[in-house]
Amino acid sequence: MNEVIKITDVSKIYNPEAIPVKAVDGVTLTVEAGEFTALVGPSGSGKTTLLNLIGGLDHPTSGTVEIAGTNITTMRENALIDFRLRHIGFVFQAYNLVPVLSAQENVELVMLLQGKSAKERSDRAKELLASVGLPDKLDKRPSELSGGQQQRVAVARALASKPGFILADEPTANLDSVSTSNLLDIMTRLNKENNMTFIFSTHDQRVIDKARRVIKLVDGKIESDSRQ
Amino acid sequence: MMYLKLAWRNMWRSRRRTMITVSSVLFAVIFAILMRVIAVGMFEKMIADTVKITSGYLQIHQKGYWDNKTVDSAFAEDPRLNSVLDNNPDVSCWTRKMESFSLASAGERTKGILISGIEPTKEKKFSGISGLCVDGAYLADSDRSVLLAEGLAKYLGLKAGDTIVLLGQGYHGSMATGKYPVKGIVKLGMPELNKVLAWMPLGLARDFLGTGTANTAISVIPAHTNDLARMSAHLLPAELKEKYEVMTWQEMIPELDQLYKGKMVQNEIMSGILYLVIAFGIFGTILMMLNERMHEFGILLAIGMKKWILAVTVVLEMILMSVMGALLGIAAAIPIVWYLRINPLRFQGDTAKVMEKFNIDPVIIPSLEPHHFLMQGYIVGCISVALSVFAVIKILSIKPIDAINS
Ligand SMILES: Nc1ncnc2c1ncn2[C@@H]1O[C@H](COP(=O)(O)OP(=O)(O)OP(=O)(O)O)[C@@H](O)[C@H]1O
Ligand SMILES: [Mg+2]
Repeated sequence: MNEVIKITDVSKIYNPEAIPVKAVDGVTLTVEAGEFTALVGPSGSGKTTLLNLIGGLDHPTSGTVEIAGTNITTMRENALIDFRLRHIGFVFQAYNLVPVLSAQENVELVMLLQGKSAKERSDRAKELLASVGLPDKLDKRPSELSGGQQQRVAVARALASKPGFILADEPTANLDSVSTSNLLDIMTRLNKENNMTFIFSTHDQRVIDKARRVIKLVDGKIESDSRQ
Repeated sequence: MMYLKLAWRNMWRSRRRTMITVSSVLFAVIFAILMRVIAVGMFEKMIADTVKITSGYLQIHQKGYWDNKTVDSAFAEDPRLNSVLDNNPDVSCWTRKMESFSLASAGERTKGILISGIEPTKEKKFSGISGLCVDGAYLADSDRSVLLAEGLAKYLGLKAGDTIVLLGQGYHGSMATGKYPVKGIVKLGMPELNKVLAWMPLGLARDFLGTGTANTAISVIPAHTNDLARMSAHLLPAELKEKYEVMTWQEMIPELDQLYKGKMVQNEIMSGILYLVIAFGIFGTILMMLNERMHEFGILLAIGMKKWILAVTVVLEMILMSVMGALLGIAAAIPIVWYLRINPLRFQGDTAKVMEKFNIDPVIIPSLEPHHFLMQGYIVGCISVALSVFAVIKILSIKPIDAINS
């Protein structure tokens, strides 16, 4: 058993003074290394909020979030930035990349922030871009890449820091079906071959079908949690 | 290196906006430099003209002379003083003066004038009076004749070759009288002075006033005129300081110094307004840039870029932009100023007349002092640093999720 994420009785209430919205309501959940988890549920059910809490981008109103054995609930902002850099990979819905940097530079940026040497950065960036099927797009700027290619660069970047897991909030929402299945194949392969843990939210049934664990949120609560 | 690259590329993201910002800085810098060097050049010339003909840059008097200018405060030739001046490398030359007020008359007319006993040969080298002769000739050291300012000569109805009668108070209450031929007439650009000045060789002035080998002042021409206050303070050794006072032209002609300082303040206010406008322009650019990139900043903070690194890239970008504008501005101003230096602008008509009235030669010879050029770069630098503070504060207050959602 190797828990990478452990959240205990976590709630997030927006607007506690005015009209309170319980976006996440007493969620308890553990995720183990190597899991490939889809977070599903109707719009407004709290998927994004939960991912933000796990990713240390937001503070819970109550409860605790432990990542790799560290309680990040009480961490200060700067410490959290550093923690994210070392432990968590992110893929957002769209416009993940720095527009003025090439694909390779975007991937290198994270390693630069980690203080890796130029050689190591460049070697690993090339390797990662090859593993997401973009060995020939190293020098392309995001604007020269398709939406699906951009998301694959974002996955490569998320892997670059060697994180404990990757959080992806609707990574395929802006993609056509070919790009979606491409990205999913890459994520599945990374999960199988490298044992990389993924947690992603989605509305897309084809994406849900590829997941090995599906957590369904309704009104901020876990309605079901099944392995398939 | 990567951060610099990031800043540089970000700068060219909105090419048009960057061009507008850079060129606004560029034109402001050119304009401010031109305004400055022209004003300084004009005034320095005016000061030089006035100072050379009147007080000189520095004067040494017997203590108390300046407050009560009488021939009785003249001091005898002092070999110690002369050798101090001869041996000071900052002194390019010095000349003796014997000055006194006196009454001049010719025919029916009489007028109070200022007689200045000078060493004609030495004086010729730096004051430029000799070149202003409009009638007759300049003085020689052993002449027994006088040189009159043109306005004065006109009032008295005199021309070269005529005779002038002088009447004044000599040394220790004696009566000074004399009748001298007018050797030449000099036209001064400064109307007030043009009405009252007359010169005679030092020897003749000493005889006329009965002072023997004494001087009322020694006028010192320094090698550099930029730090007169310091030079004035250190010119004389302690033992001579007891007997003599050293004054700068600023102390002797405070009105002129005030006028210059006033002009400079006016100039600074104008540049200030100009730069304020530019600062608002840069500020607008920063605001737009920060707003446009909020989402990207959010992503960068999420993936682990520290806020200060983010701030550094943004500040670098702004500084690159303004430094580029400032350097291009300075680079563009240099040839313009050179051109104006070689082909000075001359005022025509009424403006020229008004300027002459205020002792300003109506010609613009801009100053080449590098300081006036670098100053503008420095000011632009300060503006961008001040605005950077705003950008940094804004970046430090970003919340990643809000930024990503924007
Ligand atoms: N910053 C916020 N302030 C106030 N309420 C918020 C905020 N963010 C989210 N909410 C509310 O919290 C609830 C959960 O939102 P969340 O974005 O987590 O849902 P989601 O499951 O990701 O929805 P979607 O599928 O549409 O992305 C919603 O009711 C939403 O309106
Ligand atoms: Mg969502």
